[in-house]
Amino acid sequence: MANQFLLNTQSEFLKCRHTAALWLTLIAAAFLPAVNCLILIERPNFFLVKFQQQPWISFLHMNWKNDASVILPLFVILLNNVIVQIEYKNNTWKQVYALPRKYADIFFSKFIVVQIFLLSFFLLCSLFIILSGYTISLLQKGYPFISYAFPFHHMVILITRIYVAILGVSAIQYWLSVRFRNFIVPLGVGIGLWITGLVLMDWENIIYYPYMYSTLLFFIDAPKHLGTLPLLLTNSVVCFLVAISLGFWNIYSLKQRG
Amino acid sequence: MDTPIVNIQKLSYGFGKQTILDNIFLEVPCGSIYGFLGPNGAGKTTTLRLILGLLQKKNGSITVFGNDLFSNRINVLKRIGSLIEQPSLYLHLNGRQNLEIFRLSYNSRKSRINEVLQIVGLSDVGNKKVKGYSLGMKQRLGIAIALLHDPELLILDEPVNGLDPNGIIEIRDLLKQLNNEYGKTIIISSHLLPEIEKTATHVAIIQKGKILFQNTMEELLHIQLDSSLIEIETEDNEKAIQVLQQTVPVTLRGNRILVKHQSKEQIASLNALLVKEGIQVYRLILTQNDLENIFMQITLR
Repeated sequence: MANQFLLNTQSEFLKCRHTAALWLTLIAAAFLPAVNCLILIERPNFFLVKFQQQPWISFLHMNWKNDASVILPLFVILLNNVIVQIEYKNNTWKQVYALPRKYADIFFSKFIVVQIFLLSFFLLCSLFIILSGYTISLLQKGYPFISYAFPFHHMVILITRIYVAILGVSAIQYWLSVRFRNFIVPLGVGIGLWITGLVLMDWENIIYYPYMYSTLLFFIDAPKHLGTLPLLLTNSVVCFLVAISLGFWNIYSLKQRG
Repeated sequence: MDTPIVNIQKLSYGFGKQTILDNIFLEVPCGSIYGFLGPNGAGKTTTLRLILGLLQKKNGSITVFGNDLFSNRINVLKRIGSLIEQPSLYLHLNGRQNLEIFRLSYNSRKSRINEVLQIVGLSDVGNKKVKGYSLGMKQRLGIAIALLHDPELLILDEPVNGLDPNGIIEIRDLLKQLNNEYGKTIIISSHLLPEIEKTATHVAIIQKGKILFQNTMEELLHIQLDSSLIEIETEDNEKAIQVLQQTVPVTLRGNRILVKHQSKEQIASLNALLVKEGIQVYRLILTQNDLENIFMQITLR
Protein backbone atom coordinates (compact mmCIF):
# COMPACT_ATOMS: atom_id res chain seq x y z
CA MET A 1 0.00 0.00 0.00
CA ALA A 2 2.83 2.38 0.92
CA ASN A 3 4.56 1.40 -2.32
CA GLN A 4 1.44 2.24 -4.33
CA PHE A 5 1.19 5.60 -2.56
CA LEU A 6 4.78 6.35 -3.62
CA LEU A 7 3.98 5.37 -7.22
CA ASN A 8 0.94 7.65 -7.17
CA THR A 9 3.02 10.50 -5.75
CA GLN A 10 5.54 9.91 -8.53
CA SER A 11 2.65 10.07 -10.98
CA GLU A 12 1.56 13.41 -9.46
CA PHE A 13 5.12 14.66 -9.94
CA LEU A 14 5.14 13.72 -13.61
CA LYS A 15 2.08 15.91 -14.14
CA CYS A 16 4.13 18.95 -13.10
CA ARG A 17 6.65 18.52 -15.92
CA HIS A 18 6.65 21.39 -18.41
CA THR A 19 4.40 23.48 -16.15
CA ALA A 20 5.00 26.85 -14.49
CA ALA A 21 5.60 25.16 -11.09
CA LEU A 22 9.32 24.63 -11.68
CA TRP A 23 9.97 28.13 -13.06
CA LEU A 24 7.87 29.70 -10.33
CA THR A 25 9.97 27.94 -7.66
CA LEU A 26 13.22 28.88 -9.34
CA ILE A 27 12.33 32.54 -9.86
CA ALA A 28 10.79 32.96 -6.40
CA ALA A 29 13.90 31.46 -4.80
CA ALA A 30 16.38 33.50 -6.86
CA PHE A 31 14.61 36.86 -6.76
CA LEU A 32 15.68 38.33 -3.42
CA PRO A 33 19.24 36.91 -3.30
CA ALA A 34 19.78 38.42 -6.76
CA VAL A 35 18.28 41.79 -5.80
CA ASN A 36 20.21 41.92 -2.52
CA CYS A 37 23.41 40.96 -4.34
CA LEU A 38 22.97 43.98 -6.63
CA ILE A 39 22.13 46.30 -3.72
CA LEU A 40 25.22 45.31 -1.71
CA ILE A 41 27.49 45.66 -4.72
CA GLU A 42 26.00 49.04 -5.70
CA ARG A 43 25.90 50.57 -2.21
CA PRO A 44 29.10 49.50 -0.43
CA ASN A 45 29.33 52.83 1.44
CA PHE A 46 26.09 52.09 3.21
CA PHE A 47 26.38 48.32 3.77
CA LEU A 48 30.10 47.62 4.26
CA VAL A 49 30.04 48.66 7.92
CA LYS A 50 27.00 46.52 8.69
CA PHE A 51 28.56 43.41 7.18
CA GLN A 52 31.95 43.49 8.90
CA GLN A 53 30.79 41.28 11.82
CA GLN A 54 28.98 37.98 11.08
CA PRO A 55 28.32 38.85 7.40
CA TRP A 56 26.58 35.57 6.60
CA ILE A 57 24.10 35.85 9.46
CA SER A 58 23.35 39.46 8.51
CA PHE A 59 22.91 38.47 4.89
CA LEU A 60 20.71 35.46 5.77
CA HIS A 61 18.40 37.66 7.79
CA MET A 62 18.40 40.40 5.16
CA ASN A 63 17.16 37.85 2.59
CA TRP A 64 14.86 35.70 4.68
CA LYS A 65 13.13 38.62 6.37
CA ASN A 66 11.65 39.80 3.07
CA ASP A 67 11.34 36.31 1.65
CA ALA A 68 9.31 35.12 4.64
CA SER A 69 7.19 38.30 4.75
CA VAL A 70 6.36 38.79 1.08
CA ILE A 71 7.76 36.25 -1.36
CA LEU A 72 6.92 33.08 0.57
CA PRO A 73 3.19 33.70 1.25
CA LEU A 74 2.64 34.75 -2.35
CA PHE A 75 4.69 31.81 -3.60
CA VAL A 76 2.64 29.35 -1.51
CA ILE A 77 -0.63 30.83 -2.83
CA LEU A 78 0.54 30.65 -6.46
CA LEU A 79 2.23 27.25 -6.15
CA ASN A 80 -0.89 25.52 -4.84
CA ASN A 81 -2.90 27.14 -7.61
CA VAL A 82 -0.50 26.11 -10.37
CA ILE A 83 -0.22 22.48 -9.25
CA VAL A 84 -3.89 21.84 -8.54
CA GLN A 85 -5.06 23.74 -11.64
CA ILE A 86 -3.28 21.15 -13.81
CA GLU A 87 -6.26 18.86 -13.13
CA TYR A 88 -8.93 21.51 -13.61
CA LYS A 89 -7.35 22.98 -16.73
CA ASN A 90 -7.08 19.59 -18.42
CA ASN A 91 -10.45 18.37 -17.11
CA THR A 92 -8.72 15.34 -15.62
CA TRP A 93 -10.18 15.13 -12.10
CA LYS A 94 -12.82 12.68 -13.33
CA GLN A 95 -10.16 10.35 -14.70
CA VAL A 96 -8.15 10.63 -11.47
CA TYR A 97 -11.19 9.73 -9.37
CA ALA A 98 -12.03 6.82 -11.72
CA LEU A 99 -8.61 5.30 -10.93
CA PRO A 100 -8.42 2.55 -8.29
CA ARG A 101 -7.00 5.04 -5.75
CA LYS A 102 -8.31 5.86 -2.29
CA TYR A 103 -9.56 9.40 -1.82
CA ALA A 104 -6.90 9.95 0.87
CA ASP A 105 -4.23 8.78 -1.58
CA ILE A 106 -5.40 11.28 -4.21
CA PHE A 107 -5.61 14.16 -1.73
CA PHE A 108 -2.35 13.63 0.13
CA SER A 109 -0.12 12.54 -2.76
CA LYS A 110 -0.70 15.87 -4.48
CA PHE A 111 -0.22 17.73 -1.18
CA ILE A 112 3.16 16.01 -0.81
CA VAL A 113 4.13 17.21 -4.28
CA VAL A 114 3.27 20.78 -3.23
CA GLN A 115 5.38 20.36 -0.08
CA ILE A 116 8.34 19.04 -2.06
CA PHE A 117 8.21 22.11 -4.30
CA LEU A 118 7.98 24.26 -1.18
CA LEU A 119 11.01 22.57 0.38
CA SER A 120 12.83 22.96 -2.94
CA PHE A 121 12.15 26.68 -2.68
CA PHE A 122 13.90 26.74 0.73
CA LEU A 123 16.87 24.75 -0.54
CA LEU A 124 17.22 26.77 -3.73
CA CYS A 125 16.85 30.05 -1.88
CA SER A 126 19.59 29.02 0.58
CA LEU A 127 21.78 28.00 -2.33
CA PHE A 128 21.22 31.33 -4.08
CA ILE A 129 22.01 33.22 -0.85
CA ILE A 130 25.35 31.40 -0.60
CA LEU A 131 26.14 32.02 -4.27
CA SER A 132 25.08 35.62 -3.89
CA GLY A 133 27.38 36.11 -0.83
CA TYR A 134 30.41 34.76 -2.67
CA THR A 135 29.59 36.81 -5.77
CA ILE A 136 29.44 39.97 -3.63
CA SER A 137 32.83 39.17 -2.10
CA LEU A 138 34.33 38.63 -5.52
CA LEU A 139 33.04 41.91 -6.94
CA GLN A 140 33.39 44.06 -3.82
CA LYS A 141 36.50 43.04 -1.92
CA GLY A 142 35.46 44.89 1.24
CA TYR A 143 32.74 42.40 2.14
CA PRO A 144 34.31 39.62 4.25
CA PHE A 145 32.04 36.69 3.25
CA ILE A 146 35.03 34.57 2.20
CA SER A 147 36.69 35.04 5.56
CA TYR A 148 33.77 33.56 7.50
CA ALA A 149 32.43 30.01 7.44
CA PHE A 150 28.83 29.75 6.29
CA PRO A 151 26.59 29.17 9.37
CA PHE A 152 24.73 26.06 8.17
CA HIS A 153 23.40 25.27 11.61
CA HIS A 154 21.91 28.76 11.97
CA MET A 155 20.42 28.56 8.49
CA VAL A 156 18.81 25.16 9.11
CA ILE A 157 17.14 26.44 12.30
CA LEU A 158 15.97 29.60 10.53
CA ILE A 159 14.43 27.90 7.50
CA THR A 160 12.89 25.14 9.63
CA ARG A 161 11.08 27.82 11.66
CA ILE A 162 9.93 29.63 8.52
CA TYR A 163 8.73 26.35 6.99
CA VAL A 164 6.73 25.46 10.10
CA ALA A 165 5.33 29.01 10.18
CA ILE A 166 4.04 28.75 6.59
CA LEU A 167 2.62 25.20 6.94
CA GLY A 168 -0.81 26.42 8.06
CA VAL A 169 -1.18 28.76 5.07
CA SER A 170 0.04 26.00 2.80
CA ALA A 171 -2.72 23.64 4.03
CA ILE A 172 -5.43 26.31 3.75
CA GLN A 173 -4.38 27.26 0.21
CA TYR A 174 -4.19 23.61 -0.86
CA TRP A 175 -7.71 22.98 0.42
CA LEU A 176 -9.07 26.05 -1.40
CA SER A 177 -7.25 25.16 -4.62
CA VAL A 178 -8.62 21.60 -4.65
CA ARG A 179 -12.10 22.73 -3.64
CA PHE A 180 -12.70 25.45 -6.23
CA ARG A 181 -12.50 24.99 -10.00
CA ASN A 182 -12.17 28.74 -10.52
CA PHE A 183 -8.54 29.62 -9.73
CA ILE A 184 -9.55 33.18 -8.86
CA VAL A 185 -11.17 31.96 -5.63
CA PRO A 186 -8.05 30.52 -3.89
CA LEU A 187 -5.92 33.28 -5.39
CA GLY A 188 -8.24 36.07 -4.29
CA VAL A 189 -8.88 34.62 -0.84
CA GLY A 190 -5.17 33.97 -0.29
CA ILE A 191 -3.97 37.41 -1.34
CA GLY A 192 -6.91 39.05 0.46
CA LEU A 193 -6.10 37.29 3.75
CA TRP A 194 -2.41 38.10 3.39
CA ILE A 195 -3.07 41.81 2.78
CA THR A 196 -5.55 41.86 5.67
CA GLY A 197 -2.79 40.42 7.84
CA LEU A 198 -0.44 43.23 6.86
CA VAL A 199 -3.08 45.75 7.87
CA LEU A 200 -3.62 43.93 11.16
CA MET A 201 0.06 43.67 12.06
CA ASP A 202 -0.43 45.77 15.20
CA TRP A 203 -3.41 43.75 16.38
CA GLU A 204 -2.81 42.18 19.79
CA ASN A 205 -4.12 38.79 18.62
CA ILE A 206 -2.07 38.67 15.42
CA ILE A 207 -0.38 35.56 16.86
CA TYR A 208 -3.61 33.71 15.94
CA TYR A 209 -3.58 34.87 12.32
CA PRO A 210 -1.80 32.19 10.20
CA TYR A 211 -1.09 34.36 7.14
CA MET A 212 1.28 36.53 9.22
CA TYR A 213 3.24 33.78 11.00
CA SER A 214 6.23 33.77 8.67
CA THR A 215 6.35 37.58 8.85
CA LEU A 216 6.04 37.63 12.65
CA LEU A 217 9.07 35.36 13.01
CA PHE A 218 11.22 38.41 12.33
CA PHE A 219 9.26 40.69 14.68
CA ILE A 220 8.81 38.25 17.52
CA ASP A 221 11.09 40.18 19.86
CA ALA A 222 9.09 43.36 19.60
CA PRO A 223 7.33 44.00 22.92
CA LYS A 224 4.04 44.84 21.20
CA HIS A 225 3.77 41.26 19.92
CA LEU A 226 2.87 39.37 23.04
CA GLY A 227 3.26 35.91 21.60
CA THR A 228 6.39 33.90 21.93
CA LEU A 229 8.17 31.91 19.25
CA PRO A 230 7.02 28.50 20.59
CA LEU A 231 3.41 29.73 20.70
CA LEU A 232 3.64 30.98 17.12
CA LEU A 233 5.08 27.71 15.85
CA THR A 234 2.57 25.66 17.84
CA ASN A 235 -0.28 27.75 16.42
CA SER A 236 0.98 27.15 12.91
CA VAL A 237 1.17 23.37 13.44
CA VAL A 238 -2.34 23.35 14.94
CA CYS A 239 -3.61 25.45 12.02
CA PHE A 240 -1.96 23.03 9.59
CA LEU A 241 -3.51 19.98 11.25
CA VAL A 242 -6.98 21.55 11.40
CA ALA A 243 -6.88 22.88 7.80
CA ILE A 244 -5.56 19.67 6.23
CA SER A 245 -8.04 17.51 8.18
CA LEU A 246 -11.01 19.75 7.37
CA GLY A 247 -9.84 19.98 3.76
CA PHE A 248 -9.69 16.22 3.38
CA TRP A 249 -13.03 15.73 5.09
CA ASN A 250 -14.58 18.36 2.82
CA ILE A 251 -13.20 16.77 -0.37
CA TYR A 252 -14.05 13.26 0.88
CA SER A 253 -17.67 14.32 1.49
CA LEU A 254 -18.24 15.78 -1.99
CA LYS A 255 -21.27 14.28 -3.69
CA GLN A 256 -19.86 14.89 -7.15
CA ARG A 257 -16.28 14.31 -8.25
CA GLY A 258 -14.55 15.40 -11.43
CA MET B 1 -28.11 -16.55 -18.39
CA ASP B 2 -24.73 -15.45 -16.93
CA THR B 3 -24.67 -12.89 -14.13
CA PRO B 4 -24.58 -9.43 -15.76
CA ILE B 5 -21.21 -7.68 -15.51
CA VAL B 6 -23.05 -4.49 -14.55
CA ASN B 7 -26.40 -4.72 -12.82
CA ILE B 8 -28.31 -1.58 -11.96
CA GLN B 9 -31.63 -1.86 -10.19
CA LYS B 10 -34.13 0.84 -9.25
CA LEU B 11 -31.55 3.58 -9.50
CA SER B 12 -32.74 7.15 -9.15
CA TYR B 13 -30.64 10.29 -9.06
CA GLY B 14 -31.25 13.99 -9.08
CA PHE B 15 -29.68 17.39 -8.53
CA GLY B 16 -31.78 19.26 -6.01
CA LYS B 17 -35.39 18.89 -7.06
CA GLN B 18 -34.50 17.99 -10.64
CA THR B 19 -34.78 14.27 -11.37
CA ILE B 20 -32.04 13.04 -13.72
CA LEU B 21 -32.56 9.27 -13.42
CA ASP B 22 -35.91 7.81 -12.53
CA ASN B 23 -35.89 4.23 -11.26
CA ILE B 24 -33.67 2.86 -14.01
CA PHE B 25 -32.49 -0.70 -14.46
CA LEU B 26 -29.64 -1.97 -16.63
CA GLU B 27 -28.17 -5.41 -17.10
CA VAL B 28 -24.98 -5.50 -19.15
CA PRO B 29 -24.13 -9.05 -20.29
CA CYS B 30 -20.50 -10.20 -20.13
CA GLY B 31 -18.76 -10.02 -23.53
CA SER B 32 -21.28 -7.64 -25.07
CA ILE B 33 -20.92 -4.26 -26.71
CA TYR B 34 -23.68 -2.51 -24.84
CA GLY B 35 -25.01 0.56 -26.57
CA PHE B 36 -26.48 3.14 -24.25
CA LEU B 37 -28.60 5.30 -26.47
CA GLY B 38 -30.42 8.52 -25.75
CA PRO B 39 -30.60 12.21 -26.68
CA ASN B 40 -28.36 14.75 -25.00
CA GLY B 41 -29.44 15.35 -21.42
CA ALA B 42 -31.27 12.02 -21.16
CA GLY B 43 -29.11 10.80 -18.26
CA LYS B 44 -26.45 8.69 -20.05
CA THR B 45 -23.39 10.42 -18.61
CA THR B 46 -24.95 10.58 -15.15
CA THR B 47 -25.52 6.81 -15.26
CA LEU B 48 -21.95 6.14 -16.36
CA ARG B 49 -20.55 8.50 -13.73
CA LEU B 50 -22.57 6.63 -11.11
CA ILE B 51 -21.12 3.31 -12.29
CA LEU B 52 -17.63 4.79 -11.84
CA GLY B 53 -18.38 6.18 -8.39
CA LEU B 54 -17.97 9.78 -9.56
CA LEU B 55 -21.42 10.55 -8.20
CA GLN B 56 -22.88 9.33 -4.93
CA LYS B 57 -25.99 7.27 -5.50
CA LYS B 58 -29.07 8.08 -3.46
CA ASN B 59 -31.44 5.21 -4.21
CA GLY B 60 -31.17 1.80 -5.81
CA SER B 61 -28.26 -0.56 -6.29
CA ILE B 62 -25.25 -0.72 -8.60
CA THR B 63 -23.46 -4.05 -8.78
CA VAL B 64 -20.35 -4.43 -10.92
CA PHE B 65 -18.69 -7.86 -11.34
CA GLY B 66 -21.16 -9.08 -8.70
CA ASN B 67 -19.84 -6.60 -6.11
CA ASP B 68 -21.56 -3.58 -4.66
CA LEU B 69 -19.75 -0.60 -6.18
CA PHE B 70 -19.69 1.64 -3.14
CA SER B 71 -18.37 -0.92 -0.68
CA ASN B 72 -15.82 -2.36 -3.16
CA ARG B 73 -14.87 0.80 -5.07
CA ILE B 74 -11.13 0.12 -5.41
CA ASN B 75 -11.48 -3.55 -6.43
CA VAL B 76 -14.20 -2.72 -8.95
CA LEU B 77 -12.26 0.20 -10.49
CA LYS B 78 -9.19 -2.05 -10.95
CA ARG B 79 -11.25 -3.98 -13.50
CA ILE B 80 -12.76 -1.00 -15.34
CA GLY B 81 -11.25 1.28 -17.98
CA SER B 82 -13.12 4.48 -18.69
CA LEU B 83 -13.40 7.50 -20.93
CA ILE B 84 -16.03 9.94 -19.75
CA GLU B 85 -17.12 12.79 -22.06
CA GLN B 86 -14.04 14.45 -23.55
CA PRO B 87 -10.76 12.55 -23.03
CA SER B 88 -8.99 13.53 -19.80
CA LEU B 89 -5.45 14.23 -20.96
CA TYR B 90 -2.56 16.38 -19.79
CA LEU B 91 -2.16 18.55 -22.87
CA HIS B 92 1.30 19.88 -21.89
CA LEU B 93 2.73 16.33 -21.91
CA ASN B 94 3.22 13.88 -24.75
CA GLY B 95 1.22 10.71 -25.30
CA ARG B 96 3.73 8.41 -23.61
CA GLN B 97 4.04 10.70 -20.58
CA ASN B 98 0.25 10.70 -20.25
CA LEU B 99 0.23 6.92 -20.34
CA GLU B 100 3.09 6.76 -17.82
CA ILE B 101 1.10 8.86 -15.34
CA PHE B 102 -1.81 6.42 -15.44
CA ARG B 103 0.44 3.34 -15.68
CA LEU B 104 1.99 4.21 -12.33
CA SER B 105 -1.43 4.42 -10.70
CA TYR B 106 -2.58 1.15 -12.28
CA ASN B 107 0.81 -0.39 -11.44
CA SER B 108 0.90 -2.14 -14.80
CA ARG B 109 3.95 -3.26 -16.79
CA LYS B 110 6.06 -0.59 -18.49
CA SER B 111 5.83 -2.51 -21.78
CA ARG B 112 2.06 -1.98 -21.66
CA ILE B 113 2.58 1.59 -22.92
CA ASN B 114 3.89 0.34 -26.27
CA GLU B 115 1.21 -2.33 -26.43
CA VAL B 116 -1.73 0.04 -25.96
CA LEU B 117 -0.23 2.63 -28.29
CA GLN B 118 -0.07 -0.08 -30.92
CA ILE B 119 -3.64 -1.23 -30.26
CA VAL B 120 -5.02 2.27 -30.79
CA GLY B 121 -2.63 3.03 -33.67
CA LEU B 122 -0.70 5.88 -32.04
CA SER B 123 2.79 4.30 -31.91
CA ASP B 124 4.21 6.90 -34.29
CA VAL B 125 3.00 9.93 -32.37
CA GLY B 126 3.63 8.76 -28.80
CA ASN B 127 6.36 11.38 -28.31
CA LYS B 128 4.29 14.26 -29.66
CA LYS B 129 2.69 16.70 -27.23
CA VAL B 130 -1.00 15.95 -26.79
CA LYS B 131 -2.01 19.58 -27.42
CA GLY B 132 -0.97 18.94 -31.04
CA TYR B 133 -3.23 15.88 -31.40
CA SER B 134 -6.42 15.92 -33.45
CA LEU B 135 -9.67 15.13 -31.60
CA GLY B 136 -9.64 11.60 -33.03
CA MET B 137 -6.10 11.03 -31.75
CA LYS B 138 -7.09 12.34 -28.33
CA GLN B 139 -10.05 9.96 -28.25
CA ARG B 140 -7.77 7.08 -29.17
CA LEU B 141 -5.24 8.07 -26.51
CA GLY B 142 -8.11 8.23 -24.02
CA ILE B 143 -9.04 4.67 -25.01
CA ALA B 144 -5.35 3.64 -24.69
CA ILE B 145 -5.38 4.96 -21.10
CA ALA B 146 -8.55 3.01 -20.44
CA LEU B 147 -6.84 -0.15 -21.75
CA LEU B 148 -3.58 0.22 -19.78
CA HIS B 149 -4.45 -2.22 -17.00
CA ASP B 150 -6.14 -4.67 -19.36
CA PRO B 151 -9.60 -4.19 -17.81
CA GLU B 152 -12.50 -6.56 -18.34
CA LEU B 153 -14.97 -3.72 -18.77
CA LEU B 154 -14.60 -0.55 -20.83
CA ILE B 155 -16.95 2.38 -20.23
CA LEU B 156 -16.82 4.87 -23.08
CA ASP B 157 -19.04 7.93 -23.00
CA GLU B 158 -19.72 9.31 -26.48
CA PRO B 159 -16.33 8.20 -27.88
CA VAL B 160 -17.18 9.35 -31.42
CA ASN B 161 -18.57 12.73 -30.41
CA GLY B 162 -17.11 15.47 -32.58
CA LEU B 163 -15.15 13.12 -34.83
CA ASP B 164 -15.09 13.33 -38.62
CA PRO B 165 -16.39 10.32 -40.60
CA ASN B 166 -12.92 8.76 -40.83
CA GLY B 167 -12.38 9.14 -37.10
CA ILE B 168 -15.79 7.58 -36.42
CA ILE B 169 -14.95 4.56 -38.60
CA GLU B 170 -11.56 4.16 -36.88
CA ILE B 171 -13.07 4.19 -33.38
CA ARG B 172 -15.87 1.85 -34.47
CA ASP B 173 -13.37 -0.67 -35.87
CA LEU B 174 -11.25 -0.36 -32.74
CA LEU B 175 -14.21 -1.12 -30.48
CA LYS B 176 -15.14 -4.18 -32.52
CA GLN B 177 -11.52 -5.35 -32.39
CA LEU B 178 -11.36 -4.87 -28.61
CA ASN B 179 -14.54 -6.88 -28.22
CA ASN B 180 -13.72 -9.66 -30.69
CA GLU B 181 -9.96 -10.06 -30.22
CA TYR B 182 -9.44 -8.97 -26.63
CA GLY B 183 -12.76 -10.11 -25.17
CA LYS B 184 -13.61 -6.76 -23.58
CA THR B 185 -17.13 -5.99 -22.49
CA ILE B 186 -17.82 -2.45 -23.66
CA ILE B 187 -20.47 0.02 -22.59
CA ILE B 188 -20.66 2.78 -25.17
CA SER B 189 -23.03 5.70 -24.93
CA SER B 190 -24.18 7.76 -27.87
CA HIS B 191 -27.01 9.93 -29.11
CA LEU B 192 -26.52 8.56 -32.63
CA LEU B 193 -28.60 5.50 -33.43
CA PRO B 194 -26.63 4.56 -36.60
CA GLU B 195 -23.46 4.49 -34.51
CA ILE B 196 -24.90 2.13 -31.91
CA GLU B 197 -26.56 0.09 -34.65
CA LYS B 198 -23.20 -0.56 -36.29
CA THR B 199 -21.28 -1.57 -33.17
CA ALA B 200 -23.54 -2.77 -30.36
CA THR B 201 -24.77 -6.27 -29.64
CA HIS B 202 -27.15 -5.05 -26.94
CA VAL B 203 -28.85 -1.74 -26.46
CA ALA B 204 -30.65 0.30 -23.82
CA ILE B 205 -32.59 3.42 -24.72
CA ILE B 206 -32.93 6.17 -22.16
CA GLN B 207 -35.06 9.28 -22.41
CA LYS B 208 -35.71 11.88 -19.72
CA GLY B 209 -34.07 9.63 -17.13
CA LYS B 210 -36.21 6.59 -17.88
CA ILE B 211 -35.18 3.39 -19.61
CA LEU B 212 -37.57 2.89 -22.51
CA PHE B 213 -36.02 -0.24 -23.95
CA GLN B 214 -33.37 -2.79 -23.07
CA ASN B 215 -32.66 -5.85 -25.17
CA THR B 216 -30.48 -7.16 -27.98
CA MET B 217 -29.76 -5.06 -31.04
CA GLU B 218 -31.62 -7.62 -33.15
CA GLU B 219 -34.75 -7.03 -31.12
CA LEU B 220 -34.48 -3.27 -31.59
CA LEU B 221 -34.04 -3.64 -35.35
CA HIS B 222 -37.05 -5.92 -35.39
CA ILE B 223 -39.12 -3.21 -33.70
CA GLN B 224 -37.91 -0.67 -36.25
CA LEU B 225 -38.92 -2.84 -39.18
CA ASP B 226 -42.10 -3.93 -37.52
CA SER B 227 -43.41 -0.51 -36.71
CA SER B 228 -42.16 2.17 -39.06
CA LEU B 229 -44.24 5.31 -39.21
CA ILE B 230 -45.96 7.10 -42.01
CA GLU B 231 -45.54 10.83 -41.73
CA ILE B 232 -48.24 13.01 -43.25
CA GLU B 233 -48.50 16.76 -43.66
CA THR B 234 -51.66 18.31 -45.08
CA GLU B 235 -53.26 21.69 -45.62
CA ASP B 236 -55.66 20.98 -42.71
CA ASN B 237 -54.21 18.53 -40.20
CA GLU B 238 -57.18 18.71 -37.83
CA LYS B 239 -59.60 17.65 -40.54
CA ALA B 240 -57.14 15.02 -41.76
CA ILE B 241 -56.91 13.51 -38.27
CA GLN B 242 -60.70 13.28 -38.07
CA VAL B 243 -60.77 11.46 -41.40
CA LEU B 244 -57.86 9.13 -40.69
CA GLN B 245 -58.97 8.24 -37.17
CA GLN B 246 -61.91 6.40 -38.65
CA THR B 247 -59.52 3.82 -40.11
CA VAL B 248 -56.22 3.91 -38.14
CA PRO B 249 -54.85 5.31 -34.83
CA VAL B 250 -52.99 8.58 -35.40
CA THR B 251 -50.70 10.90 -33.42
CA LEU B 252 -50.02 14.56 -34.08
CA ARG B 253 -46.45 15.74 -33.57
CA GLY B 254 -45.80 19.36 -34.54
CA ASN B 255 -47.36 19.79 -37.95
CA ARG B 256 -46.98 16.12 -38.84
CA ILE B 257 -49.51 13.33 -38.46
CA LEU B 258 -47.97 9.98 -37.59
CA VAL B 259 -49.57 6.68 -38.52
CA LYS B 260 -48.16 3.25 -37.75
CA HIS B 261 -46.95 1.65 -40.99
CA GLN B 262 -48.46 -1.69 -42.00
CA SER B 263 -47.95 -2.11 -45.76
CA LYS B 264 -47.13 -0.28 -48.99
CA GLU B 265 -50.79 -0.44 -50.00
CA GLN B 266 -51.75 1.34 -46.78
CA ILE B 267 -49.77 4.41 -47.88
CA ALA B 268 -51.68 4.61 -51.14
CA SER B 269 -55.04 4.12 -49.45
CA LEU B 270 -54.38 6.84 -46.85
CA ASN B 271 -53.46 9.24 -49.62
CA ALA B 272 -56.57 8.32 -51.59
CA LEU B 273 -58.74 8.78 -48.51
CA LEU B 274 -57.41 12.28 -47.82
CA VAL B 275 -57.72 13.35 -51.46
CA LYS B 276 -61.26 11.99 -51.58
CA GLU B 277 -62.15 14.19 -48.59
CA GLY B 278 -60.72 17.21 -50.43
CA ILE B 279 -57.66 17.59 -48.20
CA GLN B 280 -54.49 18.59 -50.01
CA VAL B 281 -51.56 16.36 -49.07
CA TYR B 282 -48.21 18.24 -48.94
CA ARG B 283 -46.07 15.40 -47.71
CA LEU B 284 -46.47 11.67 -47.21
CA ILE B 285 -43.36 9.62 -46.39
CA LEU B 286 -42.25 6.47 -44.63
CA THR B 287 -40.04 7.69 -41.78
CA GLN B 288 -36.36 6.83 -41.46
CA ASN B 289 -35.08 4.93 -38.45
CA ASP B 290 -33.64 7.88 -36.54
CA LEU B 291 -33.57 8.07 -32.77
CA GLU B 292 -36.55 10.37 -32.55
CA ASN B 293 -38.71 7.92 -34.46
CA ILE B 294 -37.50 4.93 -32.49
CA PHE B 295 -38.60 6.75 -29.33
CA MET B 296 -41.98 7.37 -30.86
CA GLN B 297 -42.35 3.76 -31.94
CA ILE B 298 -41.36 2.38 -28.57
CA THR B 299 -43.67 4.80 -26.80
CA LEU B 300 -46.55 3.87 -29.13
CA ARG B 301 -46.09 0.11 -28.59
